[in-house]
Amino acid sequence: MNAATLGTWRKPPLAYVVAELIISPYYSMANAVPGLQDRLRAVYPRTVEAQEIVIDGGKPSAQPLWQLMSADLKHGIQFGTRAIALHATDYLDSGDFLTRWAEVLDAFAQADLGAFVERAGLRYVDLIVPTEERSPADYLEPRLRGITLEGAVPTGSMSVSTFQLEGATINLRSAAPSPQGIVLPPNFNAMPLEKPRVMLDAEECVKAQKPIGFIDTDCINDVQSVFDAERLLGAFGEMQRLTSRVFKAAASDAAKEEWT
Amino acid sequence: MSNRIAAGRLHRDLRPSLFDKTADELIEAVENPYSSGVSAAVGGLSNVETSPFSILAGCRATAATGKVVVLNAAYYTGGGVDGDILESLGRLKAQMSQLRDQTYCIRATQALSRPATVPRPTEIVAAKLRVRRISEIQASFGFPMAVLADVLAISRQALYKWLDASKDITLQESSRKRLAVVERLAKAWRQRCRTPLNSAAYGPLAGGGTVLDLLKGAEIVETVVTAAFEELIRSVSGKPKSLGRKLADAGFTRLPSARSLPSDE
Repeated sequence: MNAATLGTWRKPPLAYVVAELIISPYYSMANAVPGLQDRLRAVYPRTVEAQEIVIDGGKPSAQPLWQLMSADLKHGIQFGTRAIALHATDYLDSGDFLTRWAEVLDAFAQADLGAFVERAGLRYVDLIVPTEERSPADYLEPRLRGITLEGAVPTGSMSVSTFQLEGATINLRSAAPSPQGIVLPPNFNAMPLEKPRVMLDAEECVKAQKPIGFIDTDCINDVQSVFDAERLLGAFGEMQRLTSRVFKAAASDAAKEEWT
Repeated sequence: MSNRIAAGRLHRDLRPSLFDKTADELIEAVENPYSSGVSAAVGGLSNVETSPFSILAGCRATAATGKVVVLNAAYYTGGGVDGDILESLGRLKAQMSQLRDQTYCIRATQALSRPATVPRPTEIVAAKLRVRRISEIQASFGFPMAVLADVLAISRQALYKWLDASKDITLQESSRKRLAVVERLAKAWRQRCRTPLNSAAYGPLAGGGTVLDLLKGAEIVETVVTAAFEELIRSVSGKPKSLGRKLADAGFTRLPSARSLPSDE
């Protein structure tokens, strides 16, 4: 989770983390792939070539996409003509995650792409898998729980809030319960990484038609400058701090007690 | 060569500061009959790659008048010249201009190609972050390097490499996990006590052993180490305060000695 002491949490709800840079279209990215692959191969030896469909105004166009993944499939880098991202389903703490992200940024810095970075994003998806005696809503701060109707059983309740905080935009999406059949947030595109324990538990609940929920904190920073690894890493450190703050505000005391 | 043009002995007297050194061909061009002198000058110039005449457009002296003509606005002497001289000087000027342009082209090409061939130094932000993380651990624990290396389960040499921000090192997965655990424990200690752990790390624990033994173990159990921290804190707070501590708590501060540096240094 977002707290620096996640590694000591008894039952961490964190299922997925993404750090991402949105860049101005960089159509010659393919030329840089061999060098990037060589620099990152020690940690990310698996490679998947893919295509993404870009729908931008007129007819959709296909753009190449590369996914480099760790041998254990717990971390993956995805990059294409419009974005560079690190995905993780295994999270020790923010220091470890930012070090991994810094290694990716270094690899792109050494490739000397000179890409223009439009925005930076940091997203944490925490899954609520309630114990027998609790409902998903019990894990959310009371003001995020939505209304209740006498005699009605909620089959989906989502809340979306957006904050401007210290120059960053943070979207907080929470669901308790999640719409039926959904594990990860609806607009979330995950890489095919190994699923953590909490995600497997959530999938089991969905199969058994038991309610689950999620807390999705997505921090966005409008960078608008040429790629600068050090500056970007500093921005991500700040974004992590803000995201952690929002998550802590969204989780109920009961949730914190159970998870930590 | 100097970027000054010089003439013969007579003309040195006219412009001693300007004409103290010379190219032989130009002296000849100045002191001999017009055409041959100009030709000699031109012939000599054609072999000069980094000519000082890139500043001076050309020169001519009239042997009759003993004047030097320097076709350069900054050094124009106003000497009288006839049409033939001007024509010859025009050719000389054109050739020098061409030579200068070629020289500039070569130099510009070299200068422009240099950044492409010399790798641009890149910051290794991951290394800097790694060094910062270890420094924070060290600030909290205050262990000697050999002990810190043992805690991180690496060799002392490896620790020095980790602490070198210019080293682009890929950490093993086990090292990453160990570093994360030790970092969290350092933070946990810092939250409890401002004194580095090293001062208390060798004290025996109730259950036997020391907290250092726990930190050096093959597997660090965070809950056990955190409990040991609590025990150490209790024992430290239970100890009688030193005289210095009591005075500090009472608000006494050290007077700066005469040898003390000013506070802003």
